[in-house]
Amino acid sequence: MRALPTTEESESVEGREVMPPSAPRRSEGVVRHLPTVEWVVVWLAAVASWGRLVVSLWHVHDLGFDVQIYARAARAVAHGVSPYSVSEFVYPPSCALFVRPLAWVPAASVPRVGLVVNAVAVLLLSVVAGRAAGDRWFGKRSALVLLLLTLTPPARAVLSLGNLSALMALGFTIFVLLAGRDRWVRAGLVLGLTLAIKPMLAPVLIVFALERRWKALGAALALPVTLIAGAALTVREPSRFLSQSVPFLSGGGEQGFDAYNAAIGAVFRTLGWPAALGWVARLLVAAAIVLCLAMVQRIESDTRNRVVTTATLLMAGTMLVGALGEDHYVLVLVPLLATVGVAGSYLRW
Amino acid sequence: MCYVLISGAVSDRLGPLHSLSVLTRERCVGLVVLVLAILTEAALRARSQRLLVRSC
Repeated sequence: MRALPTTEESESVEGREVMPPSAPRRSEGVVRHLPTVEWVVVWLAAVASWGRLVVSLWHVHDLGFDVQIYARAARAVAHGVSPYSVSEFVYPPSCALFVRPLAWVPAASVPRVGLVVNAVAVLLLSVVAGRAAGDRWFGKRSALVLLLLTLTPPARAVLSLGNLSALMALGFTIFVLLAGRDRWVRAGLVLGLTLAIKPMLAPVLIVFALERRWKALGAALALPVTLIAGAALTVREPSRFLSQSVPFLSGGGEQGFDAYNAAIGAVFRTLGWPAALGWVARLLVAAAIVLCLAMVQRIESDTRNRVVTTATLLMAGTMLVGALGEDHYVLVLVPLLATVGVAGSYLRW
Repeated sequence: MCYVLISGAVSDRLGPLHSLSVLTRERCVGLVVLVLAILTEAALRARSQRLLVRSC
């Protein structure tokens, strides 16, 4: 690389002294890395809002409904009992090992552990989403995403429940960051790890097929298969995941769950509209998504834009057309949200 | 997109008329709007690319 000429080396053309256009002063590089007032204000607002949300939830009496399920499953495993003896535990056997450390946490502290872990996950999700959108690490974009998230019900829901969705959304965002930089095998491994814990991101596997990244697809499938097979040897009655959990999840959850479920089928049920009409609506949305995926694949040459848009479309489609679309699943839309205002983003409004 | 995330936050303050199931319906509509917005944007880009190719 050619060194930039110093002021003393400035060239003279036809008697005119021409200063090199990018001759920097020595202090300029340092100044560029100093935080601006704007950056400080945005980050202060974001962290204050995030902290306020965490503190406001700290003493809520019904905190950590979901994380307590994981803790009960972890204690069951610790006592040599099947995690599926906890009827609400609907995750793969490998998840029971992932949440195993919760068995060491005193029962009274479990909800707050869930709150802290998810609060950190939401913070990291914002930081990675900003970076995946092309900003620098801990840039203003990340702060704005965090600030917005702390004001939204999905973030509040995931923090108060202690659900694994925040970690899954973080995994999704890391996948988008890595795939957008053409690091497909690493992206596959990250996605595979999330699938072994909670398979809500399974539709994203289609992205590998659309991009013809077969080696990465192999990595994304091999890792969870290995982890689940390994866990099945350790955990009691692992087959209950298939016989008990999968039918439960594909049926849209338990009765009375529709109020939380934004899937088209559930919304039609709560409105009392005909099921046949619901199927027509699902087919139309599915057709719109397939058309959209085909167009984005054909016209979009930028990998980053293509990956974030197709992956988000697949997840939005699964929430709508599938059986289950809980409010905190919406967190997977954050990487696309972070691209608002970025050149080439499909969210221009 | 913002509507999908924020709708509940706004509706939370509108009182009992906006029950949980209403928020869920809003989220469903918001997701459909998001899909349609991306579809429209992709269609507009595909059209402008076609026009560009034709003009060359």
